Amino acid sequence: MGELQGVGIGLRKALFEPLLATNRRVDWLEVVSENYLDATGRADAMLARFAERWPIVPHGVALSVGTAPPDGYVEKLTALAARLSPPYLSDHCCYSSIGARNFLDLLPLPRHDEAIARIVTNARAVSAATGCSLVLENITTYAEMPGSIYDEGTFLRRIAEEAGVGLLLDVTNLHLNAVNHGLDPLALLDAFPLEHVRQLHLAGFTQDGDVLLDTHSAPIAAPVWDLYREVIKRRGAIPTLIEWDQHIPPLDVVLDEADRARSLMERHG
Amino acid sequence: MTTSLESFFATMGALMEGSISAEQCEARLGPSASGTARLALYPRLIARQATSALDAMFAAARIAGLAWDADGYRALQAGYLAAHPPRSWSPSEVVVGFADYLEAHGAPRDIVELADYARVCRQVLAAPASDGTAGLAVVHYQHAVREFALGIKAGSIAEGRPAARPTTWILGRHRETQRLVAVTPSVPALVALQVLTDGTWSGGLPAVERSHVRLEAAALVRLGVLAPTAQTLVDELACD
Repeated sequence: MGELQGVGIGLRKALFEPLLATNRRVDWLEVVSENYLDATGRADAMLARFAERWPIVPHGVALSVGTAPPDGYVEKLTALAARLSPPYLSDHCCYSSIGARNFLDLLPLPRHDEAIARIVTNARAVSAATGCSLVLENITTYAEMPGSIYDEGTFLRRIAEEAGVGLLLDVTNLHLNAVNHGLDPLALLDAFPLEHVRQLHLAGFTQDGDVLLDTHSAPIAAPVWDLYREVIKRRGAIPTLIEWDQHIPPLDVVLDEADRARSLMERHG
Repeated sequence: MTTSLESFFATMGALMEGSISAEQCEARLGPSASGTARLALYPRLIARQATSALDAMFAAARIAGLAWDADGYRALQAGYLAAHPPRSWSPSEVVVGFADYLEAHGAPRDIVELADYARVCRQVLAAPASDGTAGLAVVHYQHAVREFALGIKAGSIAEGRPAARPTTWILGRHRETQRLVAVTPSVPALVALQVLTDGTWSGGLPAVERSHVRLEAAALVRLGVLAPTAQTLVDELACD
């Protein structure tokens, strides 16, 4: 499969049947890798059906590149990559498990040299084992981890350059981090290594007390659209994903957001 | 202060499992620039994430559980997650044992049945394709759990508990659409499944007209839950 183009949406069970029935434009799909690593039955059959019509990129949440991939994970990811032939595999620049304990969440690392070295080693190993490029996403953080010495832009740039991986810029996460840490989103964007970005994510969020949570459960908010426009102005068109994971609306609502992103990409890219 | 990664993970793991406080975490790793309260958010988010996985898979059991005893149901959820800390990357794999846990810990029968129904549906949808009966399930409940679960999913039921009414279902997956199919079985339909499973017409089966069994097998084929080859096998066995 060649490089992605245009705007994709996250393939979720609630969208299976409407997606097969729609005539509206969908450029590509992203699946949560873990939903298909052991897929049998319906999930397996539906993946085959969608793969006939659209390019599909596996996007993981459990690689845990900051600690180590869970036992057996990379072998299954390799098989999924062989099945789908994606342009790359993506996951997050974080950890989600420690040893056998999985936290089912994306957790921030201290941004220091040892963490960079660990991620670089793991990312290279995963790329080599799967035969696929790896792309790592910036996560939402709610607290600075003790021991951090670098800002996020520096941290991600070094990882991208030393590991030879691409980056996935989640524009919503950038906005959330700015708000959660009292920073200027444009300053965060200035520091972000846009030259390494191969994909963008857009999603909704929710407020919980004084923090914004990355829940993928609401429409994309106005400040995120503004930031997206700024990214496209700076870097040109970049394949973009619309993400919904909770309170998933009718497909047309998801595709309206995809159309809006495509329109911004065409106008400003 | 920069501590080693191993020390970081050991300490953060302890924080997220609730065995140390955020203050103790900072004492070991140094302060978070965001403050102690923000660091303390993580164990809460981790617990919420795991509970969300339970709520997602057992949506109908949750509604009935909250109607039964909200604190009691939440205590059962917390107890399950404490006894079974996630060790899989698959949230549904992590929580699938909750149905057994509810039964073992004395949850009301209707809530146990709702959880079991969710688990069986998952198994049916995930079963490898089969020409026989391997992916089918026959379930008997004392409550109208399927009706209740469908109402929750459709949004027509937001609270309450399932009616006390014995129900029996054949649950299967449509061979083309891959959707869950539920059939209220007749005795001949159950006999058809038993004959297919056994590969023979054994002596212990209920006395039914073999022609009725063949018709019910044909109906299950039309509903997409049995392969046409299964009907052929039933036809052959019925002629023996």
